Amino acid sequence: MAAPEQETHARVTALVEEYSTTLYRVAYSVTRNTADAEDVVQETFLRVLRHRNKLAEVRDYRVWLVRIAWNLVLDRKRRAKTRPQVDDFEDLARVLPTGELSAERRVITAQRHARILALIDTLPAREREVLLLSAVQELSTVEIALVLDTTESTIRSRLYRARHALAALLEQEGSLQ
Amino acid sequence: MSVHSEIDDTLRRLGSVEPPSGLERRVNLRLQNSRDRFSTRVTRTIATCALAASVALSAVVLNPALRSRVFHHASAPSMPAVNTPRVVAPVSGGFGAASAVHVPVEPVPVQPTPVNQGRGRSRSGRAVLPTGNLAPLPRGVAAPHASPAVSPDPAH
Repeated sequence: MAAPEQETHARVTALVEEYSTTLYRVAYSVTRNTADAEDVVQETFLRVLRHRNKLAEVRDYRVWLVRIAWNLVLDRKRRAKTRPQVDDFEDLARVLPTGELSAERRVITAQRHARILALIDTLPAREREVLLLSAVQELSTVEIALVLDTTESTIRSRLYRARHALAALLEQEGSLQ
Repeated sequence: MSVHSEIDDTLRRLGSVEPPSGLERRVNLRLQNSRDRFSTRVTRTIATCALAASVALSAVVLNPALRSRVFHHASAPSMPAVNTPRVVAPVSGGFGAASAVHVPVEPVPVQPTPVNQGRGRSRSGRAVLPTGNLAPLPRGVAAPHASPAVSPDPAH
């Protein structure tokens, strides 16, 4: 194998080691399905391998990779029209870290999370996307703006609107119960 | 717990999901498979093309009819033959001046090799110093002073 090819493969392997977890979280925030999220991560790196000649031009690998994964996950969601597995509370309780809670308490918390996630899915697409990306701890507002190809102030205003809309929905639900 | 803190808690948990163990290994394995598949496909394509080219070349070289068709196709008429009138040289005479054949009745005497008769030139064509009359010749067409009238050759 040629030396530049080996170098490229080494670089892609390093990217896998460094960004797999972030990409998995980005994908999981939309799919909420472990297998689908992993598929998205793999597909992202396959795309990277396919466009490896562009690797030298990339300035910010994190933004670039998240953008690829984000587009892939949105495509997948549009095509499959699959509902996130929010109804599977056991799975959600297993996946979402809940700390040292009792089994009963853990299931109740998971139910509450599932309800909030279901309400997030009812938000307008732009606000929902910003809210989900903001959940990924590794991403700053500037990076989210780069991923979504907009300005930082737009991201901030969308985030504000999304949180207030979600809070209003939750309060409305709480008053109804 | 307030609504906003519940939202924060849910988003924080969602954004800190741990991937299943061995994710990086599986991704690298799939990338490796993809590379192998790609290189195998490229090798197979090249081998197939080379085989097809060698078969075609062998067929052309071994088959005389095919060879003549391939190597002489440029000289073959590209248009279908049409019924054009054939031009046959007549036994005597011809259609026109260009194709006419004139055979002299008697042998034509061989003329001496024409040489340059100008001034300052010898018969061999080399330049010589003038020795005779150095006066410049008059301009225009000079007519010979006295030349016997020669009847034209009936053959020409």
